[in-house]
Amino acid sequence: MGVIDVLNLLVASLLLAGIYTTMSIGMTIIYGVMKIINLAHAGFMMLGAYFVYEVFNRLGVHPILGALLAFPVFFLLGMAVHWLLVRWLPVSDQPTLPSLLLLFGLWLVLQNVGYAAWGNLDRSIYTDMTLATVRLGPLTLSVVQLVVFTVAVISVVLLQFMLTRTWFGRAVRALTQNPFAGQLVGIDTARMSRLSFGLGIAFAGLAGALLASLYSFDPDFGRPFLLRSFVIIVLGGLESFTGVALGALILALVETFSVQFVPAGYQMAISFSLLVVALLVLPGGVASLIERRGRTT
Amino acid sequence: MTAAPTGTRTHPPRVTAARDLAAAAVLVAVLAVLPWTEWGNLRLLFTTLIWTTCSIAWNLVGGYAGQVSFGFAVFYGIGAYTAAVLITEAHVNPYLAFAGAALAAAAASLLVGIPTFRLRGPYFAIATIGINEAVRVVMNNMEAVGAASGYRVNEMVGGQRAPFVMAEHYLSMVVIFAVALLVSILVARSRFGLALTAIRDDEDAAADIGINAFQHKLAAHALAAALVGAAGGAYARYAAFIDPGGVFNFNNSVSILLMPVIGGLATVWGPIIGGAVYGIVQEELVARFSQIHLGLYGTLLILAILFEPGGVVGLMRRVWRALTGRRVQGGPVPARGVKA
Amino acid sequence: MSAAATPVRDPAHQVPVLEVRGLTRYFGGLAAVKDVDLQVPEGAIFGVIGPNGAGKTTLFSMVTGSLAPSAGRVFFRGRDVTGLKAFQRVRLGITRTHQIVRPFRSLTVIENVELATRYGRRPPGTAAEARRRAMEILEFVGLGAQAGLPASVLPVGQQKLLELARALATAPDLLLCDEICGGLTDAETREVMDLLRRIRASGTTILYIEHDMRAVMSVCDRIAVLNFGEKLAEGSPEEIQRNPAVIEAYLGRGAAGVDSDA
Ligand SMILES: Nc1ncnc2c1ncn2[C@@H]1O[C@H](COP(=O)(O)OP(=O)(O)O)[C@@H](O)[C@H]1O
Ligand SMILES: [Mg+2]
Repeated sequence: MGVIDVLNLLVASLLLAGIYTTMSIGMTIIYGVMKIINLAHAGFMMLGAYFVYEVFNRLGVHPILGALLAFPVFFLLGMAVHWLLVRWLPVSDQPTLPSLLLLFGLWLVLQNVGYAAWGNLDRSIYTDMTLATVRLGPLTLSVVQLVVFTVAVISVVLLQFMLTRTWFGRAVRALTQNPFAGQLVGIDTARMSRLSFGLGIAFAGLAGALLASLYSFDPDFGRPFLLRSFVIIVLGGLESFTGVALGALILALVETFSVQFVPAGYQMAISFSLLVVALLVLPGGVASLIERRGRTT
Repeated sequence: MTAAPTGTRTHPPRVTAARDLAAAAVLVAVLAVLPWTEWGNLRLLFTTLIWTTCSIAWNLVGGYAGQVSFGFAVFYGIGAYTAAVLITEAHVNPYLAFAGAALAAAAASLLVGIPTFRLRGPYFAIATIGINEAVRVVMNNMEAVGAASGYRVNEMVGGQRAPFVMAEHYLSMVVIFAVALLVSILVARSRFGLALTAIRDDEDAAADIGINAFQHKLAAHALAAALVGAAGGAYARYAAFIDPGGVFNFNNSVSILLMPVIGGLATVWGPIIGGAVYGIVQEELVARFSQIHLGLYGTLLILAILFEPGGVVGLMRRVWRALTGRRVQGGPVPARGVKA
Repeated sequence: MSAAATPVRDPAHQVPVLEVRGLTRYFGGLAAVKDVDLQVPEGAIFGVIGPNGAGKTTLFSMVTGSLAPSAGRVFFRGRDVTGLKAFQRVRLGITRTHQIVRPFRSLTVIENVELATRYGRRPPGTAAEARRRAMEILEFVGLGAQAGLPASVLPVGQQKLLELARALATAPDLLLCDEICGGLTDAETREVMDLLRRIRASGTTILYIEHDMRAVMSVCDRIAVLNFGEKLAEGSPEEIQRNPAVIEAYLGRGAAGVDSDA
């Protein structure tokens, strides 16, 4: 590998890390506030992909614009799902068996909805952007990847802004750090859960919608990305918003470079090995390097 | 609060265990004589026993210890491949091969358990979602055992291909099922089983009375994996052909966790009822409406969690209570707030 | 671990049952416990008092091993146990009760206690023996009649007694009681004080957090006062009651009968 190759791979990793962050941050929001692992995340990503597919094919809406539309639509969808199902779950400071099973069941239902509505054929979205490239010195960059990266980064920056500057964001961070402190200072936890669940699903929908411009998809589309999200949030430390970005970058680097040496079929195994290694050597994620906490048992 | 009326007292553990053991003995005896009668479709019973064995095993980890696994197909597949290779390449006696399958699956269970059970939090559930897919993909590429195109099991007896005897396959599965049932009954009322329940209810409080939660979860997981591995081995010998897309299929993991949830978590008979219901549903419904089976299972899970977390057994207890107006006490029923 | 493993005590060189040195715990930037030293002699009922949020529970969690200290060490009978996990310390003879009750909700009252006897320091040989011992302990704390009930249906006062029963069932040498009288009536509190004295008489050293001043002053031989994570004072009940810094920081704010936790 020459220097240029390495440079190309580094840039590719960075571009990938952007969309990976958007994809995983929705899980972090929901886990942080509600201590629920959103197993239906993959299902909403899949729906996000079909959402842009439909608005593109039927209404001619550009897929990137479609992705931006997906955000509010999935925000409302998330709040509806919360109202219908999630709010009945017991409140806990750690994931409960009912919460895991309920959201897993929801994922199965969503997948079935996908099969019923769109069949099991691979779909993809093809626009002028899809094959376009730009040259930047010695590097060749894909336009669609650049655009997706830009949207992803903007979404994460806006989220960060909201978390630090708004009342809602401060409440999210307070609950993430200490679920009981929230009640003490008078945060309406029920409303907070609804809004955070909506926000988490909005990010899932956005990520799925953006990924639809990069990859082909079918109703089982979200599953490999769900595993990646897990790896990322475990690497990041489950509850840390900055950790997610770091985790995404680590996974993107490992994936991009490992493709050079390991057959593509083993990608999932690479992700999984990274998960196990992360748990063994860095059980609290990269966030724990900044601060160590927790019980010793 | 005044003194408890005697009707609410639990039976001493040995009475309950004895009653369960008696019921289990009757069930196994009935299953064992079926091949000599005109009743029963042995093939259907064979598959149902496989599913039920997996259901019982999942319940040890997911029900009693409250550790939700989405990856039990891994142990099923590892058991199937281990037995298949032992029988075909090493000409090992099939029953020894099943034991080898159990051992291999138990060893594999440590690979997921050691990094995740050590930690607090949802790491185990997360890891199990990943391992299923990762292992299937690796097996899909493993040329030594035929990769994606599968592996043919060839059992030789005295230089001849062993004849296929359905009754023998079936009876071997009855034995494995009986072992699973025995393990389940013994665990339910033992110190070990109570400790698992305590860990599920409150892991910190369990540690504060001297329970080593890590070791217990690891042991329950290994025990469950061994049972599932043996069942996988019996399947491989019966089917004579296995492939990663079949035995390592994620849908198997889904089915395995669905049965005990439907039947009744953390009970002895719940997973068996769930397994029987599943066997019938699978045969009658899914074969005909395969395009809705994911949605059907998903809906069942959601309904069970929202309306009857105790499953069929919980429902039966509730009906019984309504009919007799008495409080019924049995094994620990998972509360809604059960820790995962 | 068997009873024989208890070290022979030489009265000339009394090693404190519990010694903590420089114990510190941070939560984020907040020092919940800061550089605390304590020596708890054999056979004492040693009180730990302080306003809400003073770090008492955090101190307990570090002594029993459920929380890792940010700095400092814990010695049990002279042995450094800082690196041991909670379940290992139980087997050495350190057990606690929880301020916010944590029964095993799916188990019955007697199963809760039985389990503790079987995983504690002196596990009985048989299940029947475990059940007999559990029943004895339940009768001792006054929960005999509730033995067969699911633990989740007990009222909070009785759940506190169950905490005590479960802790006792592990056969501790050092028992840490975290506000077991919160929510009890005066008469019940007096009964619990009596229980503590009897537990001590049977050879168990007790470290005791309580908000009810009268209770603490009546039962403790020695008291340490925590304030904002630091040890403010230590002495006999009389000394503590006279200590101006303690009165200033603690008693002074709400007169004698300081409010208990909300
Ligand atoms: N797990 C925790 N995470 C963050 N802060 C905590 C935690 N536990 C205790 N604290 C904080 O540490 C301080 C001491 O708490 P605690 O030991 O419970 O006090 P006490 O028992 O004396 O009332 C309090 O300010 C409390 O908010
Ligand atoms: Mg406290």
